Amino acid sequence: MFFDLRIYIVLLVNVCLVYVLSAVNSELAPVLYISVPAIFIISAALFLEFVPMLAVVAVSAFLCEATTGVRAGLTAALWMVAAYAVHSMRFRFRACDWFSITALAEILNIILLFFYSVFFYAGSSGFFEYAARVSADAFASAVSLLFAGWFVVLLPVSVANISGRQMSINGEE
Amino acid sequence: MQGEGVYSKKNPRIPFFYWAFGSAFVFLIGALAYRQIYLYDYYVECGERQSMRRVIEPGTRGDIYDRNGKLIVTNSPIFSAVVYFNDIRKEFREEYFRLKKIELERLRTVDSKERPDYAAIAENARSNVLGRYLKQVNEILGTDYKLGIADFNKHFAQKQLLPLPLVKNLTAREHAILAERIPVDSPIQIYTGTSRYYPYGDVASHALGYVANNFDDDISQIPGGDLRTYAIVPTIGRSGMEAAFDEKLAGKSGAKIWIVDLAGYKYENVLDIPPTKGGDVQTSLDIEVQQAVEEAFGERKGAAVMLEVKSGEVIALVSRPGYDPNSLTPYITHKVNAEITERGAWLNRATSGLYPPGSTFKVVTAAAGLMSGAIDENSVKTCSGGYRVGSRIFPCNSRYGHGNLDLVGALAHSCNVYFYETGIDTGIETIADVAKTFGFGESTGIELKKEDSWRRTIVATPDFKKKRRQYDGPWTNGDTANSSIGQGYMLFTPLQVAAFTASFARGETRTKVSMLHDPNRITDSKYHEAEKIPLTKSQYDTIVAGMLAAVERGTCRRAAIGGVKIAAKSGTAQVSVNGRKLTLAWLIAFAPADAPEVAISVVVEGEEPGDVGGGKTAAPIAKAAFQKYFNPDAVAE
Amino acid sequence: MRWRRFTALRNVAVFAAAVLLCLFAPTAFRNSAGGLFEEFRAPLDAIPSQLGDLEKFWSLSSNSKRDLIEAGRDLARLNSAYELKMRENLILRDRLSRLEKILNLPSQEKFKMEIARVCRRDISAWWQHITIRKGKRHGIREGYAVIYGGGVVGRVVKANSYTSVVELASSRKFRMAAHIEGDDRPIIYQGAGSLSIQGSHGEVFDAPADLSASAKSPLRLVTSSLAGTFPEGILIGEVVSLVPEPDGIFKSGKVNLPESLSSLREVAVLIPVSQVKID
Repeated sequence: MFFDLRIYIVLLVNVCLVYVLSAVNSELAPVLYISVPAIFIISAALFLEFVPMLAVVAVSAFLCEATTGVRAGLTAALWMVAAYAVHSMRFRFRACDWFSITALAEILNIILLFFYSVFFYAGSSGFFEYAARVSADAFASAVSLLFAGWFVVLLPVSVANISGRQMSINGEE
Repeated sequence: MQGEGVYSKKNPRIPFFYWAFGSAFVFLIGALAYRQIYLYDYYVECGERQSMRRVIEPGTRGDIYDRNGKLIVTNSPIFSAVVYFNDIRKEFREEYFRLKKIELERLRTVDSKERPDYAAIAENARSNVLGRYLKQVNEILGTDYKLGIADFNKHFAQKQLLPLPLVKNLTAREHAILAERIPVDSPIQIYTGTSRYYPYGDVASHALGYVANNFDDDISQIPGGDLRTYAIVPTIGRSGMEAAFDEKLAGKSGAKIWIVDLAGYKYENVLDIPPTKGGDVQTSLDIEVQQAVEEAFGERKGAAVMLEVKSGEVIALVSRPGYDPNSLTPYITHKVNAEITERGAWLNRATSGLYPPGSTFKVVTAAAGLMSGAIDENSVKTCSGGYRVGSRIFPCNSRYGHGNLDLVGALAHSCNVYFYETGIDTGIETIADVAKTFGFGESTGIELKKEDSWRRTIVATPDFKKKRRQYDGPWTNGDTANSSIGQGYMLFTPLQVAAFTASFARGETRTKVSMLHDPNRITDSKYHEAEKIPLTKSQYDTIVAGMLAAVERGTCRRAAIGGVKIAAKSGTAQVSVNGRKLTLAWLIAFAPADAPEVAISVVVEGEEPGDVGGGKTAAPIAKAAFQKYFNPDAVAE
Repeated sequence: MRWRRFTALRNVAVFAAAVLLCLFAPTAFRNSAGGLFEEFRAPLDAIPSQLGDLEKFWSLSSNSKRDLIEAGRDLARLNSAYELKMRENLILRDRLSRLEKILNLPSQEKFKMEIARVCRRDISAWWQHITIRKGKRHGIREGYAVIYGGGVVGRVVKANSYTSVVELASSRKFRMAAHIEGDDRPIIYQGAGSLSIQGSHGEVFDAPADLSASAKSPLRLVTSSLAGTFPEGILIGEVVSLVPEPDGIFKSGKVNLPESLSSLREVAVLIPVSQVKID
């Protein structure tokens, strides 16, 4: 199970995305914060087997939360639940068209950001300010998913193709 | 029948509806899951939580300023590291279960049939948890503070909703360290309480008073009167201005009503009324003059009162010995109480001290004599060192006599003989009436009602002696002679004497005294309920000239300051204390003599016969007061 | 069929176990796992930052000779001015040290500065952190103060081997002792959290009631050395409003932090001198 090249392709792409995202957020700070956990989850959930998918998603989550003040493991638990849900209905996205992948990414991202805003709230001088900031960040994340979500989710497929491996949504329904 | 054309599986609009309904369904499921799963405990507990509790927090007392805006009484913050039981409830439970498991294991090991003492286990659990937090504080601060088990058990039983202090009275450094090193979301918090603070220490201690815990606070106006209440004890003024203006100074208590669970832990706040700070009071005292007079007293016992002539406002109200009100908060210890009692410092001698006025009363006698016609401005009498009344010789303060003296000279040199004769010629009833006209034996109107002993003052008359001193026999001319020079049965407070001095300076009969500063106060004779002194200008000027002469060449020379004309009268009264004859040194004065601004009375208690004298002891104190008042920037001599 | 059911059950069991492990594993286990990932993550932040510096160097080297010569000349002038200042500082420091010895006073030099480049900024509604390119190997530990030329940056919350995470002064979890410049009465400063586009803010508590501040006449808030973490007198921000608290003896208010706080490139970590000697 763990000698499948697809697992490492998806993991490698996720690690690169961690870097890219942190670089983008460093430059955008403090105006905006792009939070797109969906892109780390969807590729693994669609293209990998169940157990490897959980492992990849957990590793990606731990990598992302490494520099935050979040309770260790909480992000991983949230992502794994989301990944489970996406994996369960992955066959509906066999076509991998732009609309369905982007819609899936947007919806999943909104749900995860909702849970983030509930679980990660660490206090603020005013609720309105907090809500405005979360809304602004969520909007910016949604816009970035609109333009780049489909490309990023299918990036492991492209990389796999280059390395001569086929990657598609397979497995038992 | 399926086929192309009617029902096409590839209709692009259908996925859109799938997504729309799917999203809505996901949101609905999410919200339901949130309420059913995430908030499950909350709603279950809601059903169990029925009781309400009320927590009352007193408002901070207002500040007191002197007439120049200097802060003389305020509140200083007291920082404590506290925990709220509610925040560590989960840890109590976890520790309880852990200790219970150990205890049950132990009982099983020894094969004992006895039941575990669950109350003791709970107590130990609380002790362990609190001990851990205290250890954390000690590690951060590098200290070794301890918490008594009895203290926190009592707190848990009686004040569960109030914060439990782990460490009280943190220093500024400790406060800063804890604020930085304890996590923001830690159960350990910094609680800010207040303590009454008197920046000037024991200066004006009697005038300002002190505060103490008020266990009878009226909280009937605060909602939730039928709920079980936890209250942080407020303070109430016990003496001085703190008591007199307590209603204004006392803040308004705030209240929080909590819903608590069966175990008494707070659960939800349903009412929050914040406390409000009390109003500030500006007293008429000038703290620098007050300080100068107290320094001039040194270690001696006595009192001094300085009034603003026009308004009757108190500029200085001195009673020595004093005490430091800071040592009386938040409560008076036995040791402090014993020490103050031993020194006799509780008594406010300025308003409650009863003294014979001595020769300062000669001003009243002179006025009475002039009013009745017994003497006039130019009356001359001969003093040979004594005056025979009946079979007794009443001595003068000059053994060999002053010779021929007029009224001015008699006042200047304080000749007893002149006033013995004047007093007997005038008659005690007239002298007493004039004294009462000037407000002796009556209240001055000062706001310090608790300490004002005007009811115990005595304007001596034959009627008084008949009723209250019948064992001394009937009233005689000797009593009149004594009364004429302020001895005998006459007893007044230094405050009354000061009020008289201010009234005389103003040319009126009464002065209403106030501890409050009000620059807009209209202070006419109607305000003071006073009338013009029934003396002619010539008569009045003669008395004033006598007082001026006392300073220029008479007994009050030591009260003189450069640049200001002072009119004064000294006095040295004798009292018998526990069989010992002691002296009281008096001085009354007003300045500037031609347009009086301030009036003062000073009395110093001697401790040995003859150790004090009006001109020797009281005059320099009055001088210090005038110097500070008229030259505030000058360095004291 | 049986095989499919077994696979489905197995998947659910693995999923449940993984989620439960993430949520309810012992704190030590979770923290150590987190720590491992932090160390693994650190090069992801540090190396690109170093590559960025290299890229800047190459881009500069593509400038024309003339530009480089002019830039070099300007830099040389600045360098010589700074060298003079540094020499002055060294002389003053020596003099101070001699006076302290003569008068038997404790040494004023309490901190050593470790300069570090910022390689990552994480500023969102939930956390305000920056990651710097120095860590335990350079003597940095958790709790150390971090400053820059414009004032306070924050405090080190995680120190990995080669990188450290700094909690910014604007974070809600950041709290410190401070005072108004020229007034040594202590005040508590806490970040306001939720950094906004308009700029970063903080709050002050327990400010003496006689102080007043407004946007037109703000008060400068500086660090207090009472807690020993920060040296005395470093700028935190400007207090632009103060309102009385219900107890009437204190005021609380809003602090505007410097705008440059959120776009830092280089910071200094203050390492206590006592720790330097021990290390």
